[in-house]
Amino acid sequence: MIRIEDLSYNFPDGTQGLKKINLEIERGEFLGIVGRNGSGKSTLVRHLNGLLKPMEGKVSINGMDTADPSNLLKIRQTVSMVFQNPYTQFVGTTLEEDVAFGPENLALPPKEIRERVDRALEVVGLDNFKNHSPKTLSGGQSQCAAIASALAMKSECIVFDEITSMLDSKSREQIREIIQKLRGEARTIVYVTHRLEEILYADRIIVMDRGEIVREGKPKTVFKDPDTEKFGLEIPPVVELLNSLESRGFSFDWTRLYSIENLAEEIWESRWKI
Amino acid sequence: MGIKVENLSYSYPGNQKRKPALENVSLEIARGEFAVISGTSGAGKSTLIKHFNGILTPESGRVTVDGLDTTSREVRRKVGMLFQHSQDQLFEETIYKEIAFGPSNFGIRGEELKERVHDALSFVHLDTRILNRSPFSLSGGEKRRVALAGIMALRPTYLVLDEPTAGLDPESRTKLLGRLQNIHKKGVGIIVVSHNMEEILPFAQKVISMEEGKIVFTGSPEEYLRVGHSPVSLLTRLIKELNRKGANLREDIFTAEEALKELQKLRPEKEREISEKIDGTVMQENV
Repeated sequence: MIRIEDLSYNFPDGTQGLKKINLEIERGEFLGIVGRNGSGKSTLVRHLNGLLKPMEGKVSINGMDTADPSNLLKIRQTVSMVFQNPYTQFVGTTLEEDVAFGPENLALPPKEIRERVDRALEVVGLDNFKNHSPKTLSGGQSQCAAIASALAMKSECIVFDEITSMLDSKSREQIREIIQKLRGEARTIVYVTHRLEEILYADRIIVMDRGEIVREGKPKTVFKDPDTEKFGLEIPPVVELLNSLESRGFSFDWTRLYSIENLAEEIWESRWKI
Repeated sequence: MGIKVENLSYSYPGNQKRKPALENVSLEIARGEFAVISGTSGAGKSTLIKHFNGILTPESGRVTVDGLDTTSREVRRKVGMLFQHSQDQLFEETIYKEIAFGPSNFGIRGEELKERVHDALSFVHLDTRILNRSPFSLSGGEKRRVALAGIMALRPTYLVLDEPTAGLDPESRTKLLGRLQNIHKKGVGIIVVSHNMEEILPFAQKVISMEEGKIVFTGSPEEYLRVGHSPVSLLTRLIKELNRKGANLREDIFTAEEALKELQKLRPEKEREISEKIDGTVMQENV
């Protein structure tokens, strides 16, 4: 669904942001993007809905070239973005107005808008807050509200750019569950993060460094790569534990690792192997 | 001595009808202590620490620092504060002026001022060659370091940091935590507001946990993990989950190595061997 060919990008001050990136993202894929600060992750994903235009190379979404301004509206309906700081994204006076903003702009019938807003707020667990002002929500709730806005657009692809960096671990867990629900709906998910434990269950991971893709593969393979730390990433203790258990004959179903309960279950059931 | 908060309540102006941001909070942080304040977003953590150096004054109750009321000017020097998004705190023309701003406000001049600026700069590992540059020419991470240097130049007795690691990559996070440890070794009290408990807990001596404007827990990191008041690391969550299934494992574990050792207790035969060695009895398999 997304095709990136030889994409390069330089910042206004001349520093190189991206160097000849080639990447294809399939429909329904869950792709994790990791890398240190300044490695080019955010610059890359900002090309996916035309916020940035390629300086060299080409980005196309369902065959639509992002460099062609006449495609932009359609592209932005296809790819939604959720950013690190949701506070800067709010426009409505109540949460439901805020979530309705996008679908209203699509000029949908009111009944359809109602259904989409209700459904989106239900998925993120904020149905009880629909008449609250977005400003009164806590950090975690605001982030869920921003996700609901993206859901109400029913876009095929949602890009999450470091959405959990200001969240506590409880909210982070909730977000993993939401993402798992989205996968059930066969949406394409692009997820940028520093935290490897958030993408254990991704279909594929790319590691970025200095504007290039330096590693690519299944989480299981990438996390075992001794070079991962060289790229400024930290293998979280829980992943280290998974690795040592696997070397002792465990074989986890990584696609189920969106919840810690599932992990505990797998360990518990094979505890005789430890 | 230390920071003492007694029956502190606070509501934001114009918001008095709603629940107060802080409700009857009492706590003590000793001089030189490394304390962590945890709790979910909106729990009142940031409101609380703004009382430590008089940015906010109590609606009711009392806050003192080394016996001084927080309205006293001396408290502002004693308690250095690094806010969230500290990279946006900078405003001076040059990095030198930026770092010198605090101490010169307190009447420090000449050689001593210069020395303090240089000390603070080397402390955050920035080169003196950058002193004449504009702080706005720096990257986000470097700006944060300059903001920290500006506070260290005050030579505070207490350093309060609000979510200092949010948005930093693991490398920068480790470096910052190392710096905090060094500051702490010099005898400066460190108070960190964080919801990334997993990374900060190993350094902490005291944990204060907040919920909805109240303190729900005060104690050591070990006690904190045991009672499990607030969000904890995935590793701890995993062990808790296994314990719920019938295991009996230690929950105060930070590394994969320790966890693996602990998980080995799950293996039924192992369990039997160990207990046989200890007291000669045979434990029943709990399968």
